[in-house]
Amino acid sequence: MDLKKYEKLAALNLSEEEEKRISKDLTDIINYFEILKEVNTDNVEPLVYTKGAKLFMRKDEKQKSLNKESLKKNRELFNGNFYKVKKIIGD
Amino acid sequence: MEYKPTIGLEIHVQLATKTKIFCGCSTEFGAEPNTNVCPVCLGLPGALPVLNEKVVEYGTKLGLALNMHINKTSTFYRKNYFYPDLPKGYQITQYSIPIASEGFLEVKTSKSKKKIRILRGHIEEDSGKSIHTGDITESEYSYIDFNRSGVPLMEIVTYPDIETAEEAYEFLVLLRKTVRYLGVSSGDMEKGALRCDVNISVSKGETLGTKVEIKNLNSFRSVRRALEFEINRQIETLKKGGKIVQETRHLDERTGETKPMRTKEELNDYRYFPEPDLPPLILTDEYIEKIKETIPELPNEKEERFVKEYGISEDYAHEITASIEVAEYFEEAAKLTGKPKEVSNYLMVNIMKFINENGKNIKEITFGAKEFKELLDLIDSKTISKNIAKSVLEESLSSGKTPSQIVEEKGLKQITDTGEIEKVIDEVIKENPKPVSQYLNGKKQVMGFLIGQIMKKTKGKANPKIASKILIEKLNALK
Repeated sequence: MDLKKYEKLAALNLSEEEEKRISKDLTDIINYFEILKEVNTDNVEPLVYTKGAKLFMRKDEKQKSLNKESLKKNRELFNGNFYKVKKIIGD
Repeated sequence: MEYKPTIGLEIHVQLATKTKIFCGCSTEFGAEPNTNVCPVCLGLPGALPVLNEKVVEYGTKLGLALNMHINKTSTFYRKNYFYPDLPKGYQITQYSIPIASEGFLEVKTSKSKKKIRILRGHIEEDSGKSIHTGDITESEYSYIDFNRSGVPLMEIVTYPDIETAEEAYEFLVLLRKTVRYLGVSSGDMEKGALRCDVNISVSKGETLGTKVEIKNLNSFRSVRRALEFEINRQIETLKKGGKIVQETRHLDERTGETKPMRTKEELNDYRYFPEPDLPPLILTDEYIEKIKETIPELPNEKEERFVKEYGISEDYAHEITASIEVAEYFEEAAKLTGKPKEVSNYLMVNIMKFINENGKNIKEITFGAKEFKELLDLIDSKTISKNIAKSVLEESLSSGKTPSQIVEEKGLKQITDTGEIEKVIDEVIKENPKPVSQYLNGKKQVMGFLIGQIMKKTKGKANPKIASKILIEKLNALK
């Protein structure tokens, strides 16, 4: 398993010690799935949702959006009319 | 052997719902930044998506209109990637089973008719918009407006059936017509309601060449230009013995050239997994049937019917059906007047010119089917000539007055009273002895000049048929 790749994908920067610990955890998890593989799943439909919940839909009707004053409370993130973040384009 | 391009399109159609796909925020374009936002579309912890039923309706409608199969069970997935305009860190989209799959559109080009197959159509949410002030390379920050975050999209993916820039262009034009006929999207590319990415490769044989993607094409013209440039670039590169690099490019609008875009290709791993907050979308046969019934006659069908039913030219039928409003206008006038050919002529030549020059919409003009009938009746009854009819039409379009009102007020009635015409002809013969003698000596061409003189004296109101008949009689009597 290429942990570095997943660090990048998850936008994480792990210390060496953390890498060691997480690497072990992830290996354990993957090994656990190896046990599950022993179950015979021939002729069994893939199951994604366990509760059989019905999808609830809403009507196309407007609801109140957030008040800008409440957004502005987070001064570090919200600047003028916009959310302000460190630039990402071009690495 | 020639190089042959292989082109596929991915088009994002913004669905024209009032509210976003998973929350009740407005989708209004051009609102003040970050005013149409809530915990759901800002991705705040704990907020849950609730699907907008109108999105399902529009998605089904568009799928059916594109001759697609509607999947009775479709599922939502999370597509994971980090970007500041995607607040949740994932986009809710469809993946393994989209709402619609396997369809086609039949596209007409100057050379042929061709079926372009469609692979899939899935519904998903749009991202926010990054705004960069000043120089993009210098600014340390990105500024984000989340008004667009959560606006519903349907992504249409074609098979690589397209072989020329013209086919790609015509496909897009027809898709835009279709979404407008259905009323499921404004189809305005300049407002981002239709966005197009293209995949293109060229090859000589059966094996496909290396694929290049061109992203963010935001006008019909850009799609055409980008493809024309890129086809040429790839062929020239290969001819010189070069290699095509698999990459993403963008169109430089100023030069018309495509250029490589810097992207983080190696991280193209979206780790799709089923969206746990949304159970599968299940549609019944009855539901699909009900939506099917709401689909109006589509552009291609209408075009063909207009040619068959009204006998107008294929070119006119194509242009008239470009907009459903113009098509409806034409049909109403054609039915009321019983003269579709005349209607199509005046419509495409005079009325469309007026509309384009004045930046108007066909719905805004007062000259409708009733006025059309009035105008054509005035020609029929020989009250006005066809020449005068044109200026009456133009006057009516700009002033809003009815044709008969204009004819009355300006005294444009054609003179059919032979006595009156005779008087004018006598004068013309008297005043133009030279042309008259030329005519009598067999120079028949001067007729045109003499008729012109009659028209001048009557300000174009003399009935040309009657005038020329009397003129010939009178000239012959002089022999």
